[in-house]
Amino acid sequence: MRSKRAHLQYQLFILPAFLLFTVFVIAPLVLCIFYSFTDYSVGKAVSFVGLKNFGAVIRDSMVRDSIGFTLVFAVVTTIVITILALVLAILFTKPCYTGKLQRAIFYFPSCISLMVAGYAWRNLLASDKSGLINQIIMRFGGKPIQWLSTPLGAQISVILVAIWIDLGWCATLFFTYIQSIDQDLYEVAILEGANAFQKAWYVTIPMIWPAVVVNLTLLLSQGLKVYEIPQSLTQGGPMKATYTITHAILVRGVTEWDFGTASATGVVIFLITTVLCILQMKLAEREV
Amino acid sequence: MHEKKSILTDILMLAACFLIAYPFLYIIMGSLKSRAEFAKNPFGIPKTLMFSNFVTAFEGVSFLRILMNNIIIAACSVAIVTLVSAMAAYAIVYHSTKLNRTLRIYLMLGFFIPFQATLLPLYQIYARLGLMDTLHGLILLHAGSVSLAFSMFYGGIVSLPKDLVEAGWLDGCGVGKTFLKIVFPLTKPVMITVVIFTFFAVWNDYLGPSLFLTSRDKGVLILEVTRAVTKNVIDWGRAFAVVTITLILPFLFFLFSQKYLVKGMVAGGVKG
Repeated sequence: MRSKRAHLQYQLFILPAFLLFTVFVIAPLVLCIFYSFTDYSVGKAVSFVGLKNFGAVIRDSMVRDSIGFTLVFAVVTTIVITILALVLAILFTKPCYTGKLQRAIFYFPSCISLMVAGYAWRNLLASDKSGLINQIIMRFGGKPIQWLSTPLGAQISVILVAIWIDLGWCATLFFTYIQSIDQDLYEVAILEGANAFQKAWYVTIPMIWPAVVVNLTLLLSQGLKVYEIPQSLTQGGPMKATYTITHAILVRGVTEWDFGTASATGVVIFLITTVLCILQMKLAEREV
Repeated sequence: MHEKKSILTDILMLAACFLIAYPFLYIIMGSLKSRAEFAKNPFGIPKTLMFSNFVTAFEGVSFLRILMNNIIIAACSVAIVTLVSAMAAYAIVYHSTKLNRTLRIYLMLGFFIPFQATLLPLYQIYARLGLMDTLHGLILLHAGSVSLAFSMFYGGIVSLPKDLVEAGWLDGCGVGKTFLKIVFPLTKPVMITVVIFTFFAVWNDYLGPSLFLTSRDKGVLILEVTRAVTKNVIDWGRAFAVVTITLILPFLFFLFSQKYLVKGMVAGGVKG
């Protein structure tokens, strides 16, 4: 059965995946890296310019700010979602009748298109008196907040929507890990007279911490890909305050045909993602 | 634990659930309101249920065709990704040569590569290969992201008992027959997870279609939604009717696949 024919057949089985992956993922990446060292544009001969494009990435304030916002978004959402998801996961463990339903409802926002999420929230967060959240704030005597019409407000809004999307699946995941904790640990904690907070702090969180850390890197690399939420919520505005790395690549590359700068920006996000992934693998290995 | 179930927990948690679910209720209620009612009462319960938004949503552009585009793209992408990654994983597990061990790492490099970094060259490649503005172009785009599916299948096939496959060889099954008759059916739990993850990724994708499907009748639903809400005068009722239609399939999928979603996340350490 280890005949030459079988050998060939096995290789043929790998071929489709190999070809698809090479043509539609690897080749474009290699081209992106190649362009990042050239001044390539439409109808122009390609010449190498060394690291000039990477200098442009740093000097180009639009690109720089987009990278900045993307990093802030990724870090802030990762931290806030993780903390809230831990709290929610612990709440999920409280015995009650509708636990399954609760988890399902919290989970569902992560199953829909990010664009849809943004469009739904656009009216709820509308800046003037027409937004639902502002109506509620005013009902309680507060002043309407400029959610989507000021740079900071828009940035916060994008983060809020991201939390709404990711909180549920994250909490469900943590809840699954909590289910596998040895119940004896809790018995001991109760005998020692621990209250609910102490049980969470000294038993639950330390026990699932390795999984939480792996999840941090996952949330971070997902956060770096953010594009749809600001696109549907604010179209990157106001004043480009919610432009992300993807916006920068699209504007410089597709709109202005400045392939060099756009590709260098692509390489930057590729490098950051790679570092995060390697970190994640190292952490996951240690956990096992 | 020996704590008693408390209805109070239920009430508090369900109140929180209402807040989380409200944007969905808002969309669905909105899709049932007339323009006038939406202007007057955008957030509350509709006074009269009006289904005409769903009817007008189907008018004008060949809406059914766009819905079909969605379904074709999702079904074909899911089928291709599932099949090619299962085949590759099978061959690499059962024919572990030095080359194939390298290929295993190669096929998993996709985890490191954000779509953003490949997007501009893809634009060029698509123009050159004539894949721009074609459904099969978009299907191939999704079909190329095999890394997650491949690693899941690899994990599933590696843990299958070897003697089952060897029994197949003794019965005279070749490489192909062993895969189709023995290995592929045995990967069912993994397969379901792969199908679900790929379906959600493809169905909810916006960046791909927005870049590579330019003409309207080749578009997908989410592009129609975008068109509807970027007009000067927005007919939210109609826009939300289209949104509601895009939500139906993910919702059904979600109902039947919840436990696999969580299982897949725990096993793969990956989401979407």
